[in-house]
Amino acid sequence: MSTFPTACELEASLGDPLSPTGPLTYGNAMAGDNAERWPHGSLSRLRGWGYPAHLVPEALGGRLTSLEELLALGRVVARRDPTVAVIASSPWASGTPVWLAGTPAQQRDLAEAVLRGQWVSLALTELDTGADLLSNELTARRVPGGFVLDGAKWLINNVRVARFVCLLVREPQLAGLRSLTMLLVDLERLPPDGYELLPRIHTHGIRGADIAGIRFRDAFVPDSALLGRPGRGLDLTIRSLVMIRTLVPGLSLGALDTGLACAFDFLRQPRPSHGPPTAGPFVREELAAAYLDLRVAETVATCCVRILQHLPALAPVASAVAKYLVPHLAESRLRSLGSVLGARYLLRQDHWSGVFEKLIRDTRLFSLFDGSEPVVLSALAAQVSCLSEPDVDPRAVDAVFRPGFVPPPFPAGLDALGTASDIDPVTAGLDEVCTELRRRAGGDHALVRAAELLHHEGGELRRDACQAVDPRSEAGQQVGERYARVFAAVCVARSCLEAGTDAFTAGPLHWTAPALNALLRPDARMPRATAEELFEELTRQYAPDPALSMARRG
Amino acid sequence: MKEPIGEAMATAALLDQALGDPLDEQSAASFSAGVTTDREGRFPQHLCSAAFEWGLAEYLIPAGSGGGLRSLEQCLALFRVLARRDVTAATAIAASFLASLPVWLEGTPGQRRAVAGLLRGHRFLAFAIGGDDHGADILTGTDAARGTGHAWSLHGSTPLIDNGGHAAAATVLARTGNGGDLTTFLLTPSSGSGGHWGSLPKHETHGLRATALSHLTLSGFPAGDAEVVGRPGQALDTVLHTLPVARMLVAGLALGGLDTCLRAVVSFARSRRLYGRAIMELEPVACRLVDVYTDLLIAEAVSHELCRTARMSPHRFPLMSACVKELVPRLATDGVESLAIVLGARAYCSTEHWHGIVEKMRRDCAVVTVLLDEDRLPAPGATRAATELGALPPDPFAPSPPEPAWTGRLPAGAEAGLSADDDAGQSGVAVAARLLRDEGAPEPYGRRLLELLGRFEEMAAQADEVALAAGEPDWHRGGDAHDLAERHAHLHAAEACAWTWVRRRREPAEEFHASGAWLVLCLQRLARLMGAHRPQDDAGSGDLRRAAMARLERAYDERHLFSDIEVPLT
Repeated sequence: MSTFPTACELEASLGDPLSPTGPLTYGNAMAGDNAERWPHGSLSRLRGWGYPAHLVPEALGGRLTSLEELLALGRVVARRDPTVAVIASSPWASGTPVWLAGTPAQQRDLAEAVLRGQWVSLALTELDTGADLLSNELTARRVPGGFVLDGAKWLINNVRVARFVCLLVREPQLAGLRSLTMLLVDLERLPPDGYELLPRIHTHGIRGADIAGIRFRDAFVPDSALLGRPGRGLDLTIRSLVMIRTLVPGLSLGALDTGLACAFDFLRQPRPSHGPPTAGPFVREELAAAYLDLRVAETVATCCVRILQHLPALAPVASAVAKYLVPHLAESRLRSLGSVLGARYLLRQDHWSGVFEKLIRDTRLFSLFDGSEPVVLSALAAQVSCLSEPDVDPRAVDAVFRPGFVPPPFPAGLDALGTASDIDPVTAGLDEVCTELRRRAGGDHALVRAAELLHHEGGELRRDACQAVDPRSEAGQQVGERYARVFAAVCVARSCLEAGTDAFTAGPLHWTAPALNALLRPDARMPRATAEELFEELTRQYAPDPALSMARRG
Repeated sequence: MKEPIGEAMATAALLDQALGDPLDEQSAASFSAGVTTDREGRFPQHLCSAAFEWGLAEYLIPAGSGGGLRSLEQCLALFRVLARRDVTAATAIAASFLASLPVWLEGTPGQRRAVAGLLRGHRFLAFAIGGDDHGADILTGTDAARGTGHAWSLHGSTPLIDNGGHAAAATVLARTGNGGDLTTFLLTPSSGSGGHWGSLPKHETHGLRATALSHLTLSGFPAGDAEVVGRPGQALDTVLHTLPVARMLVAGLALGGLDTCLRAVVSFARSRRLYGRAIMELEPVACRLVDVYTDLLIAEAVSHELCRTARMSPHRFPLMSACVKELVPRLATDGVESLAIVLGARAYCSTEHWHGIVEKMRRDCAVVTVLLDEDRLPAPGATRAATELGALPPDPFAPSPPEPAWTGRLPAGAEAGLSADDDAGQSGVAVAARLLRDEGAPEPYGRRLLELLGRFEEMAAQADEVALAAGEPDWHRGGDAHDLAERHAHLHAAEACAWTWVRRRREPAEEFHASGAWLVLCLQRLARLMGAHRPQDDAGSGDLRRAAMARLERAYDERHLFSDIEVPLT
């Protein structure tokens, strides 16, 4: 796994998150959350640092070449305030249809707007249809020179402050899978009476964000707004979501970084009635398990984002794996840490300004937006048959597991991005990986058993691949989850094998076995000796100052 | 003789009906009002007042002290239906009840009259039990109560307590002896002439946002014999007597919150269409709804069994309460999270679908889970209870003059042909299995039921072996002990479900029980919570799910509480 100087630079420039006030401190994050306030100060600080340039491809005047770097930047911001990270990253995410399919003029206009600090929205969902995009009712009627829009979108991030909206519309004269078209609407050029910004929607977490809706009434947009090909809006939407879903894990990782650091810091402080709590083996085991999940999650997120640029044909699977697993691990692990912290974590003040509780609420969004858990698990189940393809070369993805991976500059090669994967070279390497793990295990019986477990689960998955399963059934959901876990386990194993013993890369072999067990047997408790070993590693990294140690990790 | 739980639920139904339709925005007891006060951080006085106007205060006062409270079941049922409206309001009144409990158990007639008067005046009381750095509600400082003999001066601040900012009285524990002995005092602001009674600013929480959570502070506050509850130095006993009741109340709050979330999501799942059909018809949605419904039935069964245990086998009450506290809030919070997946984006919106009540309950239930986190650190309470049986506190309802009304035992054999002694001494799982063999297994679930009962008998035996094998000095503070505690809680739940089925299987209106479906549903779910996989190929499991869904929908359509007992709601 790479460390990015830019991400380290950003982290260092933002200063101590424990300062009582100031942009991108925990205190500031909590104050904004309590007041449901748009984080002007923090966004302005990021703009001053040059964050918007990292959202725009280099070829269009920005500094974005590596999506892995963008993931790392999002993580750095999310560590301080996931709300700010969601807002700050949204111009890139909302602009994905343009990066993928925009005309040179559209790409130039959007790039210039983002570099100037203007906002972009991706408007897909409607009040009554949700994930069922084909049932959307916002229409774009063809008229001479353009389209006339009628209808409303709901639950759209930043729409009330956006200049551009990537808008998914139904063309009434089209039917079926090709009835939807994507438009790039410039709200500055739309007559004010052509649209209405709907009231802000109050949310459970990310309370400082401005999430609302927009209603169009007989609004004319010119032909030049057409984004991609007419009737191919669904295809473009799915490909855009594949990209976005691959980057969402950066937000979850940032939240888990801080949640773990916060819990570690709180639990190591002696309290009057309990003595030094980290002396308790249960607390150490829980912290070690969270640390392991964090390492697993960052490995999976890194592999999947690299796959997006290295082998886009596999990205529909990899993005679903990352979007399901990383937010799921972060959310469930934060809940577990909350149980260990007890009542204290629910306070909106005191320790670390009460940010832990906010992190729990904020992370719940990441498993929900741009593809909820059921949706991405269905997507995986629908693609599991790709495992039946013969003669798939595992070598095709070797590069993504190597520490020195360098991608082609974004968005080069992404025209190969499809809506579903036909082959899976990651999982194709499963048998080979298991053999290599056994060979390298030496006397490490735990690693041998973990390799056997992976082999067994891989076999089960291949059996699933040969059976017709309805992706929307309960069995389909289970197949999707198994696919995600096996795919992730192979990513972890291959990364560990490539990384050797460098503790700051994907990980030395000593945590491979617990990592595979955590992925494939998530409810099983790790042996206490393993937990103690991981806890010591965690302590070395986080003590004596958890907040600063985060900064060093970059 | 009608079971106390039946009478209690009937009383709770009256309260619910008096509070009106929670979806009526004009009602003071509506979801809309609860969400609004929560958003504004205002104490839900409107709902508390409405409940008091109905007469709730009488049910906070034991019959032995002139009130209307006759059973623990009444407490459970009343707080459950109140919590289904607003957990914040229910928690505030539950805190008042807990604060009064030491007085009902050990107070003087004068103290009882005083507390009864406050409750009848719709005033709030404060009492903390666990959940902070101090573990129990103990004034900070080593010499918190200075003085000897019959007069003390109280100094210090309590941990965070509910109603801390607006309490008309507080039950306070303070150190009064050189050896650190604790004494319980019943204090009112006016009782301490010359002393200072105050509260620190309200603490902010995101769940139970409108609650009056703060530290009560005392300085030079005088107290004499008249303020001592029970005997000086005996406060720890008071805490230990109160704790099991507090755990039971937490279960009631969790049940109420989960009921509303399930109801709201059923409503959504029926009306929301996706891919051309109601999402209720999607198999994963149906599975989630039935799982949560089953969790609710299990949680209810263990809670009712806990109340029964307090009457029939009081010595087991503390242990059983620890299991209930371990299980019920967790089932509720996990259930709400699962329902949030069905509700999708609307679960994340604070004012959508039923005024955003699920989003509020999601935050509130998370707080309920840790209201009594005395057993989260350093070792889970159920583990302690399971491994230190000899060290258990005496039952809170052991005779202590004058005896609270609900401690009276029922005559042996009064219920369902089972004697109290049988009940207390036997495994419900074993009894259910024996009955099935003796009476014949009902179709179509009898065979599956026998298999499941057999599996739980085996698991219980294995759990005992694990417990006996735990020899390391800090074993009870480790993850294995935590897992064992969870296992015990699930096995206890299986026992409770089995007893419930044994008692209800012959009720004529309950085909779902008579066929064994109810118990299969609960035991299958518990087995899965203990690590078993969901049966995929068993055609019967689909039938069972459909039968459970039909029962769930019937309760929804008929506006009944999601319960094994028919409780008509507004």
